[in-house]
This record gives sequence, structure tokens and C-alpha cells, in this order.
Amino acid sequence: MKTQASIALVALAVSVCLMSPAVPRAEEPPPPTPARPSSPLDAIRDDLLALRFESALAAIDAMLRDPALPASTRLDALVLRSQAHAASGALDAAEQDYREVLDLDPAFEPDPAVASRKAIARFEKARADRVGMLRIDLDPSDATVLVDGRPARRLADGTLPALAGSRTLRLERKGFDPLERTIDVQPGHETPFVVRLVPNVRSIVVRTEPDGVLVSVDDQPSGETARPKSGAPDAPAQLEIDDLAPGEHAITLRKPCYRTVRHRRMITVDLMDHAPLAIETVALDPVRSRLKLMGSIEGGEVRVDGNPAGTLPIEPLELCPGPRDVEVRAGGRVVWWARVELPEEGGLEVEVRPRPNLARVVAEWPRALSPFAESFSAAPPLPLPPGADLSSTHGWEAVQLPGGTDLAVTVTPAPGGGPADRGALYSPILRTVERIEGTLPDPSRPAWLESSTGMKLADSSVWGKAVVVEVAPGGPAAAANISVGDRVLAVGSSAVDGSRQAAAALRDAAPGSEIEVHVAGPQGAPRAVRVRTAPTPVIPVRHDGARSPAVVAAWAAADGAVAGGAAPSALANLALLLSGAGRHDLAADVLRRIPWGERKGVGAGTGAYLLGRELEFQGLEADARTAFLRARASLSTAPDDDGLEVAPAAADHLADLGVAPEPAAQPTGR
Amino acid sequence: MTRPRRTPALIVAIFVVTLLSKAAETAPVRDPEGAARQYRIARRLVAEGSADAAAALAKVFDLDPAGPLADDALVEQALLLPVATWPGDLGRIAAPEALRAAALLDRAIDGFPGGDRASEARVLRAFLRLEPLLGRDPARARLDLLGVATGAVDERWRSSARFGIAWIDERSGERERARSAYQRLAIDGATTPAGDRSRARLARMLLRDGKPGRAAALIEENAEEGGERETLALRDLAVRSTLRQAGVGGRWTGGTAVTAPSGLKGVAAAARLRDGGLLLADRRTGAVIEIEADGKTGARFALDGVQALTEDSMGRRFAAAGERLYRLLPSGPVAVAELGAFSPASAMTADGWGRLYLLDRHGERIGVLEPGAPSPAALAGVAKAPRLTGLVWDGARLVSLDARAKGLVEVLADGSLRPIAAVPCERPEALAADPAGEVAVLDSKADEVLLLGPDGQVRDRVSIRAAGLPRADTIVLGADGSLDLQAEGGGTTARFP
Repeated sequence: MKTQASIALVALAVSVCLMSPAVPRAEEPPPPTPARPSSPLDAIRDDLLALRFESALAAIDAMLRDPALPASTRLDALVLRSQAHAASGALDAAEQDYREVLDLDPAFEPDPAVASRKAIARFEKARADRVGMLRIDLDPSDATVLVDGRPARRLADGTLPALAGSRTLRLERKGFDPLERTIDVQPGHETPFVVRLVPNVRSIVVRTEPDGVLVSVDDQPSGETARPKSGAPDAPAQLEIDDLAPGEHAITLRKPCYRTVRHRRMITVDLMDHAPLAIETVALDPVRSRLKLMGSIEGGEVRVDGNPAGTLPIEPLELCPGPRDVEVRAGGRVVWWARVELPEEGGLEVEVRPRPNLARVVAEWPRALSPFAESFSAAPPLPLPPGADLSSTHGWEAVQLPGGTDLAVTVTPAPGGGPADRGALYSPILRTVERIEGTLPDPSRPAWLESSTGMKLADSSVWGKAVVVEVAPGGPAAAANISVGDRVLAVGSSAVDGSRQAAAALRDAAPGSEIEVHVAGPQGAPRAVRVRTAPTPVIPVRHDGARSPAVVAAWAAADGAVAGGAAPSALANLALLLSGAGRHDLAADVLRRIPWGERKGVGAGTGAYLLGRELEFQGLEADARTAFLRARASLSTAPDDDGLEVAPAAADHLADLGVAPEPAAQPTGR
Repeated sequence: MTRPRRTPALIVAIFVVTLLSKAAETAPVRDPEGAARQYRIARRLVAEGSADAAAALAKVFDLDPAGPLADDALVEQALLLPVATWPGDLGRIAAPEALRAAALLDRAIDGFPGGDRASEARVLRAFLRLEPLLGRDPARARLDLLGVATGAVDERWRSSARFGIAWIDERSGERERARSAYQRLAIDGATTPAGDRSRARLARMLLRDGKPGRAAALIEENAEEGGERETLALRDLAVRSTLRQAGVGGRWTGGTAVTAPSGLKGVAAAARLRDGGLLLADRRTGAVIEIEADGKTGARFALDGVQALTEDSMGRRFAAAGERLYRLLPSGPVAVAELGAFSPASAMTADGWGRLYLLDRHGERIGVLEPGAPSPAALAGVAKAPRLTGLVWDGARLVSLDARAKGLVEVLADGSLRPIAAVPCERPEALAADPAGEVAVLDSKADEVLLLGPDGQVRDRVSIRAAGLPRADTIVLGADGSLDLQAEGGGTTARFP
């Protein structure tokens, strides 16, 4: 009865033990407690709990006969068998089990809560026969120890059990050279073992004033310095950078609005002192760069990085060096934008002229097309929306273009890096798409203003070429004593052959500039005169046919937003383009907004005439009549200041609208 | 409940079947694909200038008379005849072809009122009504053109129609209306063909208005460099007038070029041509000879007894010889009218509509020959006129010379005379006019030629002897303002450029 009672008691203890994880691992965190996995060992544990020792042992034996059994499972099975043997009083068998367990894990120790004293004595005997202890003095103490290539566990007292015999120890730690030693382990004995690893990297601590300094080592960002959370509040900001290889390193300290510091530092390792190398505190000097904005956007509001900075014309701005987004707004829109890189030394002068905002919707913007993009305020390229059909306005309208986009383009570069071979140009203003074949269109600013000299030229087969046939009284030519009958021989240093060539040369001179004109009178000798030209709007602008309406419209929108001499011409041209695109309502709106001011030639009457046409297109006859009546009462001209009077043309439009001519109201011709 | 009556349904069914079978019998056979193939062939033949092109186009219509290419076939057949596409092309089509063209265009207009060639057909039909042929109807043409100008979708034909209206207005004396329309076209369609043509017409008007500098510059602004000879001649005249007006040149005295075409023995009549050439009638050899602009001898027509020559603004050339009026065609002279009481004619000229005016040898009767008319009709009121010398159309007015009163007179539409200006010369004998409205008068007593402006002021003067000629009987002014002199009985022409 006593025996049976003791067996039942042991079995109860075993069952308590079996309910817990099989083998506690020293220095390992407790495993998570998920639902128990279903495995052969679980079935064996169930047998043991039901005191079915024979079947449990048979199952364990069968499992251990499998040569492919993983080592950890094999270990668990052996531990289980040792507990079963010990609980059933088969101490010899249990001792044999302990030997096999120690072969796999020399640091194994049975749980005294479930093992009888006799069983533990058998274990101690087995361990004394097979395992010796290494007392390792390691520097650094957290180095990893491998015995015969396998990670070894140290016991709570710091000793490392190892199987007796010749063992190869390898010691490893990041930042140190690894070390291998062969050691003879005596069973049942403790062997001292002192090892000092040799460091091969060094950590450093960079300290700066102020904080927030971006530190780069060898051009690789390493982080930002920050004030220590503990310690004196005036302690310098610091950043620890781990594991720098010995040798010279380039350390760069950078912070916006401070002068960048670059220095080189020799990093060495210290066999004795493994603490990070503290580098002396570097104080960065505050620095400002001067940005001078030059140009003609009178009254334009300047913003730097989105913050208001003043109104043009503006004194040079004192700004922190580095990349800055500078924009100028006028007429309720961004008329110029650029990302500038302000140098720490000196400053930057930037020419600010209105220019359209370009959006590029491309997989990759070809380098060959850089000049096209540089003509505009070009935002970074937007990705091509998958499946978008950018050959249609519908496709473009589905693209989220940045606000204020005047022109958008997509291109597919030709193979081999050649010019773009196909693509599309989209005008959000005109709502048109132009196909690109081969090359992009001329991106340059159209000449909204040309030079007027107040003289007209004509060729004659009898009387010579480039004969002056009309001189406006009081005009630039008259002021330069050019008379009817003179012939123009050269403009500047370029000889001209005929009136068209001469007129083009005069027209192309900078408006308001003074040009030298060589003329000859009917009988007199050639003479040179200086003519100060007058600016004249041109509606529509002259071009050679290679111009894209989308590009011209974009420029017109940008230039039209800026108050100045060219704005009325730009806006009137924008209206013509809108009209050509069938957007007569918008064209009329633009024409109504044009600030013509008081000027002869192209002026308010021209605007009224163009407005009348747009209103007529829309069928707004009463409004059109009013506009044409204003044009008819004016002395305005088209397409330039020296052009035809619009009044007679307005009278013809009025006749279409049922208004009889009023000769008295018509101005006399020139 | 009654049974459905089957008899009416049967009758209806028979009726429908009959109708369908009738429709199948009468509906033309349509072959759209065949028409498309044939149209491609026809277009090729048109491009090649083939004589078979018209027939090929006719077949396009026959293959699919209601198809999408039918109106194209009709309009393009008319264009081959040839129908004028601008007023400047009038005068090239003969009466039978004009009738055929009218029929073709009427079919296109009536059969395809919403077709893409409808506006074009209407404009061409209107221009046909302006042809210098019997039945010319400018008023109807203007109405048709107004319909296109104010209603057509196609800007090309709207512009053409507007230009046509202005062209009619200009010839009808509605100069301000014409000026407005030309100016509108020059501004609204600055770089279009209508814009170019409008600038040229505006220049002509400015020239007459005494603004030659602006006229010259306007022609220079035309999109086409160079342009037609006639336009270039007008530009030369404008520059000449500008220089003259400013007193810095432009005068005949700048130099003389004398030409003596071979075979020419005695000039009886002369006319300057639009292309810069010269037409001379040689009474001794019974021939009319064309001297081209570059001086080469061109066409030669056998025609005896020529008393007067003229070319109208449409390029048609006429000779009054004996009792008949001949039109000089490339194939030879064709008699087009009997001169009747106006034979022999002492002078002949043509107005902007192609009407011919003839002055009898006594200088007492002026006849007007409407296009297509068999003989001239006398202008009422001229029967008792004083003895007139010379008759010229100065671009806007019919001008003659009252030799006894020594004054220029305008012959009005009713035949009455209106004095223009006194002529400051001893014995005025011959007249010539240029497009600027300037009139040259030959003074046989002083052996000089005077150039008078529209206001009668003397603008230039040249001595006949300066040209190396002993005397002159004939004077003509070129479109560029150059002066040609010929002496009857001689074969020499002296030109003052």
C-alpha cells in the first residue's frame, strides 16, 4: 500500500511538472503562452498524466529512434524520459537519461521541485563524470560565447558548463575582433578563463551649440544633436554615433541659418577604454545670405518658403542659406516661382520676370528638354497616372494639376536619349491638347510689345527699295528728321534690302530703345540718324507659325497678371486665343478687365472692338452693339499703333447688327 | 362581339406593296462606294488638268446623286468651267459655260442646303451673277452674299462673301460702306486671302483719297511678298504719288525709255494692260500687237481699221474696228457687237462693271455697251453735248475733255456732263487716266503732257520733245503711273517711267 501511495504521490508531482514547460532555459525570457501546440510530446505528456508510463516511454523511445529528430525536441524528449524514469523509480535509467541530456545541454539542471533527492544525486553523479565548469572573465562581459560552434549558456553564478575534453571556445561581439581558444575541460572541475577582446571600432559623441544640428559622417547623415534629457540645462547638445571604423572621418555639422562646419577627425580604438570618444563642443556661427530680386514685377508680393517677405521693388533679403522657395504673386496668382540655393558666402541675384507655371506629368523628364522647362516656373515632375489618356482634354482633366498651372506637358523620350518623340501639351486655360511630334514648341516669351518708329516703308520697282512713304507727325521718325522720300539703307549695322526687311529690323529693336538708322534722301548723301522707338502693343502677336497657342496663352496669362506696359497686349492676345478655342465668354471677361489707360493707337477702342466681336459670337447683340459703338467713336487702331483704325470696321459690324452709319461720329482718317 | 374585318387590311397591304414597288422603280440606284472611288479618280484628273475631269466629276454625281460626295461633284464641276472664286477672277467665263455653271451650283444649293459645300456654292453663284454677261445682277448677288456673310459657319466663305459685298458696294458708289467692310476684313482676317485683297482694295481707295503713302504701306503689309503684277503696279503708283506729293520725286522727267517694236509702222490706238504690257493697233499693217511688260512682242491679231483699244478691269481686251467691236481672245478677235452710230469710235473705255463706253468720231455721242448687249445704247443727254475729246474711266468716274471749253468733264450716268476742272493748256487733244484718279492730257500746241489730279491741279508736266518724238497723237497711262506716248504714223513708243 505504501509503495502504491508513493508512486501516486510521485505521479502527482510529475503531472504538476508536466503541465509546465518541459525544461526551463537559463537566461532566456519566459516564452509566450499561446495555446499549447499539438505535438507527439503533448500526447506523451497526456499519457504520463494518466499514469500510462509504459505507453509514454514506448512513445518516447520510438521518437528518439528517429535520427532526423530536431535537437531541441530530442532534448525535451530525453528530459521527459528522465522524469518518467525518476518518477517510476528507475534511477539507473534516469541516470542514463541525464547523461544523454548533458551531452546535448551541459548547463542542464533538473528541477528540484519534481525530482527526488535520489534522482538529483544520480544527476550530480552523471554531471561530475561528464561536465566541467569554466569560470570566464570576459571583457566586454556581454560578448557571445560559442563552444564547439554552438552557443553556450552560462549559469546564474556566471560559470559556463562544458562537456569534458578539448573544447573550442569562440568569443564574439560587434565592434571587437573575434577570438578562438581551445581549452581542456576537466570533468567535475572549475577552470578559470580570462579573455579580453580587442576593439575594432569606436563610438563618438558629437557635441554642438546650438542643438538640432544635423551631423553627417563621411557625407552620410547620422542624426541630429539634442540636449541630454538629464544633466545641466546648459549642457551642449549631443549625438552619439556608434561604431566608427578607426581612421580619418569627415564630420559635417549643418543647421539652417548657421554656417556649416566641416572638419576631419582621426578616430582610434582604445584597448582599455571602450567608452565613446567625446569630441569637443563645436559652436556654429549664425549666418545670413543676401537674396537680391531684380526685375520688373512692380507691386509683386514676395514670399519666401510661403512667408510674406515684402513687395517689389524690394531691398535685398537677408535669408538663411540653403534651398529656398521664392515666389512672386501679382494679379491674384503666382507669376514667378523658383527654388533657389542661397550660398553661405555672399548672396544671389535673381532675375524676376513673370513666367508661366509648368506642370510636367512624366515618368521621367528627359535631360535634353531641360531648356524647355527652365523657361517656366517648373514644379517637380508629377507621376504619370496609370492608364491616363493624356492625348485628350478629358484625360488631362482627371489629372490633379497644382493650382495655378498655366501649361502642362507629358513626353515620352525617344530611345537613346534623343529629343522627345511624342507627347502632349495641355492648356488648362484654353482647354486644348496639342500633340507633340519630334520637338517641343518654342517656349520663349512672345513679344507683346514691338518698336514703333512712326514711319511706313514701301518698295518700288521704279523708285527704289525701303522708301519712306509716311511719317507720323511728332513720331519718332519725324523727331529724327526722317522725311517722306528717304530710303532706309541699314538698321544698326545691318544693311537692309527692302521694306519688309527694314520694317522687321525696326520692329524687333527693344521698345523704347534708341537705334541708328542709315537713310538716304532722294538726292542727298546717306546719313545716319538716331531714332528712339516707341513701344506699341501687337494684337495678335506676330509669329512664324511654330508658336504653340498653349504656350502663348500661358505666357499671356502670366504677363497679363502683372501691371505694366505689356499687360494689356498680353491680355488682349489671351482673349484672342480664348476666342480661337471657342471660349468666347472667357475671352469677353478678359477683354473687360484690360486696363488700357489713355493711349493712342491700340487702346480702349481696340478693346471695345474685340469685345464686340466676342459678344457677337455669343449672340449678345445689345451688348455687342454698345461695344462696337464705343469702338466706332474711337481713334484706336489694330493690330498695332500704326495699324488701321478700328472705327470703320466697327461700323461694318454695327451694320450687321442693324445700326445705320453715322458719318458725323466717325473720325476722319489720318 | 364582331369579327375583325379583313378586307380593308388586305387593301392597305396591297397599297403598301404597290407603293414600295413603285418607289423601287423610281429611286435612283445608289452606289456610295463607287462614287467614292470615282471621286478619287476625278480629283486626280482635276489636279492633272485633264480634259476628262469634268466628265469624271459628273459620274460621281450619277453614281450617288444624294450621297455625301454629290455636292462636291457639282461644285467642283462648276469650278472647272471656270467659275470665279474671287471678284478679281471675273471675266474669264463665257456665257454658255456660265449657264452650265449656274445650273450646277443651283443644284448644289437646292439639293444640299445643309451640305459642307453649300456656302461655297452660294458665294460662287453670287459671283456668277457679277460676270460681265447678259443678265448680270449685282443686287441679287449682294443679297445672296449677305446671306452667307451673316449666316455661314465656314469663316473662309463668310470672308469671301463679305469681300464680294464690299466689291459690289465700291462699284456702286457706296465707298464708305465698302471701306468699312474692307477695313473689317483687313483687321479680322489680317493674314487671310480676304485680308490681303481687302488691303489692296483699301489702298486703291486711299490712293484716290490723296493718301498715297498709306496706300503704299498697306499693300506692303500684305502677307504674300510680291503679289500680283496689278497690285505691284498699284504700289509703284502709290510710291510715285507719295514722292510727287512730297515734292521729292516721282516725276516723269526722271528718264525716258524708247522702244520700237519690229513690224510696227503706224500706231493708231493704244491701251495699257493690267499686267504692265501694252496693246498697240497698227493701222498700216492691220494688226493689233501686244508688247509684254518686259518689252517682248507678244500676241499679234490681224484686225484692220482699229480706231480704239481698251482693257477692262477684269482683263478683257476689246478693239473697236470699223463697224464692229471685237473681243481679243487668245484664239483671235471675235466680233461681239455692232457699233452702229458709234462707228467709227474715237475713244473707248470700260468701267468697273465691264461696261464699255464709246465716243463717236465727232465727239458728240457717247454710247454704252452693256455686257452681252448686241450694240451700244446712246447715253441720254449727250446728243447735244459740246465736242468731246477722249473718254477714260478713272476708276470711279467717266471722264472726257471739252476741247472747246478746255475743261475736264465727268459724264454722269444720265449722260449729263459735270465740269471737273479747267485744263490749263492750249490745245487739249487726248486723255489717259491712272487708278489714282489722275488724268493725263495731251496738249498738241505746247507739245507736252499734263497730269491733273482729281481736283484738277497740275501734278506733273513733261515735254514731248524730251522723249525725242516730234509729236504725239496717243497717250496712255500704265497702272503704275508711267506714261506712254505714240505718234500716229510712227512705230515708236516713248515711256516715261
